[in-house]
Amino acid sequence: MCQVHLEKQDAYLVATLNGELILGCTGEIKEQVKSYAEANQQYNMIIDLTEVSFIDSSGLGALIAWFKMANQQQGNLVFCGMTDHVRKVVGYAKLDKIFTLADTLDEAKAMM
Amino acid sequence: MARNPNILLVDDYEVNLELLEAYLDLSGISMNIYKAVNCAEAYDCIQRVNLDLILLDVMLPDGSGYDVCRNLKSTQQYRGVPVIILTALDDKQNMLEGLKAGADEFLTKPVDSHELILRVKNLLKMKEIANDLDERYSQLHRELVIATELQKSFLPRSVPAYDNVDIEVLYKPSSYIGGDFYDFIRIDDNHLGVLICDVKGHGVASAMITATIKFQLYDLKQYYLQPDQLLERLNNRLENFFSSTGNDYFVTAVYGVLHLDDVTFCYSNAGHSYPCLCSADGLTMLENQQGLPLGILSGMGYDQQQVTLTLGQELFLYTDGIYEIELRGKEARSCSSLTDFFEGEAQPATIRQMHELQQEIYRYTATHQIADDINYIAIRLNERED
Repeated sequence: MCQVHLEKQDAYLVATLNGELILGCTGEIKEQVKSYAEANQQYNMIIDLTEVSFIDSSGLGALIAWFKMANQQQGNLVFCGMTDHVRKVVGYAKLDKIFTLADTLDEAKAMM
Repeated sequence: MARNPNILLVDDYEVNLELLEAYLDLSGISMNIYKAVNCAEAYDCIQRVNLDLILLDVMLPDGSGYDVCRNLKSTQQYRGVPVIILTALDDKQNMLEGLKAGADEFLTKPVDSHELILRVKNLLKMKEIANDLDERYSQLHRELVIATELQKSFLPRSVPAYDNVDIEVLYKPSSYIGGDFYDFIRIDDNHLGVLICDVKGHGVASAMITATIKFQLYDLKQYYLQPDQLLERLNNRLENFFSSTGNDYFVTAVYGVLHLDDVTFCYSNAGHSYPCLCSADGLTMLENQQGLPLGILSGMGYDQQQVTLTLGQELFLYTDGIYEIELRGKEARSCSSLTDFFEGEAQPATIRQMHELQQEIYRYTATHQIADDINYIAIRLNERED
């Protein structure tokens, strides 16, 4: 299972994910993050993946959905804290070419 | 309930049956009452009538009501039928026995008419909700079956056969609709277009996207010989399609042209699992220059590479299902690439190991349900000529 904690900072939002981002729980998480951004009209976002141990293709779909949303709204989206596994899966799909990545949350905040 | 509920009363004393029927009459619910005086008659009625409730006595001349209940509850078709067990004694042991057999409610004899009516009404209400859900589920199931058939119809009807090249395909969709798709395009006598792709997402939407890809592919005829150009256009069109439908889907794909005269495969890769060139010396993942999956961002370019097959080599195109399968004691999804899959193996990976794996996958998918689709295309030089 996967959970998300959402938090609003002055100039950006932070979504902290926890668990396995896989088919079955991804749909709801995807919507939660999207509606939080829409409700706050804030598309500068950090997605913290430090505590995400596993991701499958539907999880990748969620990352892409957030990327697309931010992109359409001219927001700045940074993914941070990818574990080796997540980094590998993202790399296989060549998404590292378009995603902005940071090693740690602090690093991501510095990029905002 | 759209129809009157069907209720079966089982008791070996006719008098008890009459009494139960009289009580149920008092409830004011219109219902069809069926009666059985032993297990055999009860089973007969269960099979004949679409029942909504059973009132079941425990002591029957040809067996125990508990057994009837247990059998019913362990059968997929009948387990949803609520059962009220009638026990002569307010006995804890009997109640536990009934619970073990899966009974929904108990009534102690002599039966109190008010209690009987309340319990019957409650269970009928629950059954009505369950029937409604069943009906909706069946409708969805029928639609999924249609979509599955639709998706199958987009797949090539045959695998192309050539004098000098053998092509082997395995396509195993997971339960209902998955997102794997492949196609062969017979461009001319010397060129065969090969597409393998994976629509990320399942269900009816995947089938629709597959249809879109098939259609777009047909419409991109002039680029059949240029994999990079073809994927670039397919990407733009899919991105446009997904943004107009509000979908967050994406598609990984390899499209290539097999030149039959010199057996060269000229291909482009859109975020798909690396094609693998297998030989007696090992496996080479064709990793260089891969582009983004299709449908995410328009305006992306794709690079093009080529590889020439020699005798004894095999070009292997596949979807991620093959290394996420539960084979050789590996947990499902424990590998994130084919390289990962072979890494833990005792034997170094060669074409021989690849063929063994293909055989295993073939056998496994023939007898097991799989969680993700499995699709591979193996292309090798024909050795008959030697």
